[in-house]
Amino acid sequence: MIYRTDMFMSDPANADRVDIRLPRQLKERIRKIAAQTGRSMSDFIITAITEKVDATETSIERWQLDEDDSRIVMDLLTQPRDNPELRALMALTASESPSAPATT
Amino acid sequence: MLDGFELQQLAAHHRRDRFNCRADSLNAFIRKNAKNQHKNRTTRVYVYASAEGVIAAFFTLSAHLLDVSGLPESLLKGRTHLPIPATLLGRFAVDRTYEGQGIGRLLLSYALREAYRSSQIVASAFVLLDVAQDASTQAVHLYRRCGFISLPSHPQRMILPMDEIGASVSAD
Repeated sequence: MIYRTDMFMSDPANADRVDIRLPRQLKERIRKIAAQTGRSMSDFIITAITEKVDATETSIERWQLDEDDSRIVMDLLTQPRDNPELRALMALTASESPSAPATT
Repeated sequence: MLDGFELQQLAAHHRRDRFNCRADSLNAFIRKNAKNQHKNRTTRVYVYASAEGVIAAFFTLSAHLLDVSGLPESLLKGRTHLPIPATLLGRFAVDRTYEGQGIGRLLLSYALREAYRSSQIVASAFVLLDVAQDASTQAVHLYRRCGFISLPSHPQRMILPMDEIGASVSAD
């Protein structure tokens, strides 16, 4: 999701402040490039950070479950559910052959 | 189903730069990151695309582990504390041009079918799904209707047992 400052500035209860120090040169580069693209520094920084967080979250390959989560997972494994909606969904591709292998 | 479109793995001729869904994060992914992640085998990127390379929709699949080491021995039900292998349906998007034509349902069917097929070769007990923060409410309803449930610690992530997909596939 691309956050913009106007999404949460009107709702301060939903926004936290982070104080970080930036190298002066980097700050100047951000200021210039943000100005050139017609955005505030905050918008520019938040957009860049969000993209990085999204990409990193998805690349973490192991998910540590707490006890409540684990109980649900074990219940799902041991107590089969009837799922007519899923059967209908899978029927959409019943006659499909596997996708072509990767070419890249 | 769209005439002339079929499920393919991402390739050089696909026009990633033209893809435009409602979620900015997914547009950024297909345009900037998808090619490298597919090439590096970080994830497999599947596109529903035409022969000319127009992408109507895409999804990604990759390997994942559910760490259940926090579960008390009494609740393991004959299992060990070893992580449970799973398949992550990490990203899922339909281009705006092709909305309202059932492409989301079709693509989810393809994604679960590919996940199930691969689980018959390399074990996987669940499909996990990451709901983009800017995902449409229709998409989330579709996942719920098909049996995906959210876990308390991570509401953006949903889960569906592979056995349930298997039972639905064998009923074809």
